[in-house]
Amino acid sequence: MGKLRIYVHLLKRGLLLFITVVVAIYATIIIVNMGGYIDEIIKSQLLEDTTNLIKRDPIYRTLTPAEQDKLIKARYESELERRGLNQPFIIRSLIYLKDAITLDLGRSLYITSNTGSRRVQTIILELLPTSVMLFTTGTVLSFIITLYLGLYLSRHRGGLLDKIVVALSPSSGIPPWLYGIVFIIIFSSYLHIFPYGGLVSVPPPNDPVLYFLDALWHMTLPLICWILSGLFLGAYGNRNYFLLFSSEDYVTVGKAKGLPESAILRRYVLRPSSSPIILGLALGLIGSWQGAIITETVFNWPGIGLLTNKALTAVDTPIIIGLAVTYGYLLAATEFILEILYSYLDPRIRVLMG
Amino acid sequence: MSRPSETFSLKGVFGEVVKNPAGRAGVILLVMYIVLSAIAPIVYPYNMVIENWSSSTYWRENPRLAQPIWVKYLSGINLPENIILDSRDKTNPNVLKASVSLETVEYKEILIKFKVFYDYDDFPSEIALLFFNKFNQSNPYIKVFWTRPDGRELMIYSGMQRFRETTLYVSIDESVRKALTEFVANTTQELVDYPSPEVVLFAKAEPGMWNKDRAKILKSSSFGKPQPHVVSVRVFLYEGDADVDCRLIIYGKVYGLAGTDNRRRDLTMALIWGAPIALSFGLLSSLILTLIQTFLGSVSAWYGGVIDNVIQRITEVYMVVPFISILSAIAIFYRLTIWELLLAVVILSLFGSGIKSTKVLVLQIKEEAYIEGAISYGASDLRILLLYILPRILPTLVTSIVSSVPGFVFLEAGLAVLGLGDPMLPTWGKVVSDAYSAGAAYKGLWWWAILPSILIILLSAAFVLLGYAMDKIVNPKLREL
Repeated sequence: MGKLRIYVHLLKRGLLLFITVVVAIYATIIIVNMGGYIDEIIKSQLLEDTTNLIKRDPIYRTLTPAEQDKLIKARYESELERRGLNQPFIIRSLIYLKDAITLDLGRSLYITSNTGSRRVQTIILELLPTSVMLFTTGTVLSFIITLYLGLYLSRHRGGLLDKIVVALSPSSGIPPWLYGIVFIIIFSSYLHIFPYGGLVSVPPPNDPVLYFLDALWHMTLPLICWILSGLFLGAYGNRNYFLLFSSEDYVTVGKAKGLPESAILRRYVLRPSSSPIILGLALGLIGSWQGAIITETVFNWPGIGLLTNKALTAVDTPIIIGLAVTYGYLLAATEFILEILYSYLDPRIRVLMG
Repeated sequence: MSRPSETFSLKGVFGEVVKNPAGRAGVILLVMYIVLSAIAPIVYPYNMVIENWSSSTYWRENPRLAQPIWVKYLSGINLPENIILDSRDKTNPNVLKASVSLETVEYKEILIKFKVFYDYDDFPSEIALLFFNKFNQSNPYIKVFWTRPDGRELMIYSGMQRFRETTLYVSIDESVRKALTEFVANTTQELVDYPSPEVVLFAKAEPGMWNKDRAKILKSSSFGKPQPHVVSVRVFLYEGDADVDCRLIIYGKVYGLAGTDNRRRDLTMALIWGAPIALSFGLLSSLILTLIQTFLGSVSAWYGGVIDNVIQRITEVYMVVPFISILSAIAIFYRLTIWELLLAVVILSLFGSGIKSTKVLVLQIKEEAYIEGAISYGASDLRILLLYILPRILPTLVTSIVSSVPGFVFLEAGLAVLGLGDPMLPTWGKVVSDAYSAGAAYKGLWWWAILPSILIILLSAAFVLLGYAMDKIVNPKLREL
């Protein structure tokens, strides 16, 4: 009986999440196409190109202007039809939506992959590893460091390290790219310890081991910025969080019972505080593959963030929508999985749902 | 749990904030920024900033990429400042202008002499001579001589003036370079292709005087009686009423409180004007958003049911929509000014995390006896929400306004780094962005990128510190930590 209720609840949640994604993607499509205005730009560009082509071609010199115009019109209209631009934007936007939701990401307008492909999927997949390499690593490292530091601080409250972290926590909120600009000046320009940016040196080393080490060396500075940006506030937040949970009555009871410190920590502090921490990690992880537009721009890191920036500047809508829909699905899937996880992890929720 | 019955007056909160060291630091920083914002329109009127910041001629007498002037005192090196002498300046003893004209023929000769006492520890960055010519038909003819403190003299330029206003860029002029090559060859028997005038003219006459790393500065004070550089301009005019004036600019390497950028713009202007812009952008967006989100959160908690459901669904949609991408798309498409950007930011973050936190609070308050009392005597929903619930969440509201300011300041700066800043106004983010795109990070032009960054960081720190102090008061549980 209880199981069934959980399934029904999960099904409802799943459906709701899907609708959310659909609505969000549709909103993105409308906004990124400026409500169809981008189509108008493409159309007028097309008309101009066709006109130029025919007016300049000596073959058509013999035609009268009226005949030329007729030819231009015919060509222009067949081109519109070929690209599907003859339909009104509302219908086109629904087609875009259907394609996006079925993950048929289509082809980009201008941007190509390194291999010359215009398939949005290929372009995204090509750049994905570099973003994951930097930002997913950074998010995981940052999670581990802030978790352990927070735990350590909560148990050594008032110590020197605690005071330092508390004092430095206002520095959080400084975005990684700002650290990036300052650190490039200090560590690259003045101290020459780290490279200015990019994924590998130019020209890249041939030996795979050296190539890897070179990439690692290029990755260090952005990684430090990424971790540092969230470090103090993260550790401080975790510390406070653990302190709050350690001051609960049941922890005191556990201590009074004479339970070992580690058991108290694991059972009474970490377990009840785990769900928001896991949520934070999950959100960080699914956000991390997108890279970071500004940080990647500052470090010239060829990942998804730089691609997003390029796509935005070139108004390459299929890529922007492709990225948005991928993110939307990942976010929804993560939330769904977490919902299932919670129902097992957290007895409070289990009870609530029956 | 917490003490929900405790109430705070705003005045009380501020009193408490000042008692806390973090709060005090925050208040002091914030006051500094407010003072900076207040003096900005006085020192640099708004219209003048809009008009001149992107102008190409307004800044031409400033040195390019000069460091801030205080670097001089920090490093102990007497770095050169701008030296500007003008022949129209009658009061300056180092400027002399004399003319001789012949009555019978249309002929006039003008001699302009500038005396420059140079005692800095470094070479100037550039040298330029501006000519202001008044003539009808016959072009004036000009010869420029440079006499160094050691008595060596050379003619660096001679030529016809064809326009009303001309500039002799001594540092890059071909004929000056030729004259200097000859000068170096005669003085030290060295053949150099392109000696830099600002080095050779100011270097001691010894081998290597053309090399800025080896050459030593020829100082005016190294002679028994200080000897100046003398720049003489001889003008030959073939019309009685013609006239020529001249302005000598020896560009320094330090300028103003914040240095200059690659377009010679005085960064002090941008840094001072950045304060009111960042303050108002951050405060306005966080104020508007917090108010709206609080309203939505309270409504959601108070009415529950369908309204709550709708608000929650929209919030989830907002979570999926890619915020930065859409904001940038709009900014790219419409070339937004900073105030339009503010509007876009507000619309795109309407349904944010603030709704949920307010909702939790209001749900707690809703259960309390005095609200029940209000309902029982028939108070309207609006009255309860505005008069009974809102005052209770006001301190939290102020705290959340204060703590969300830095995010918006950084957002503006970040968008500027992507090239989406305000097209006219100088903002800190735009300065950082200009510095970044001109390669300041790579070329070690630290002041250009780091000074605005520090200002941004300190402003954010001010609000974070204030937020901390307030948070401790509003959340009593945090007080013990």
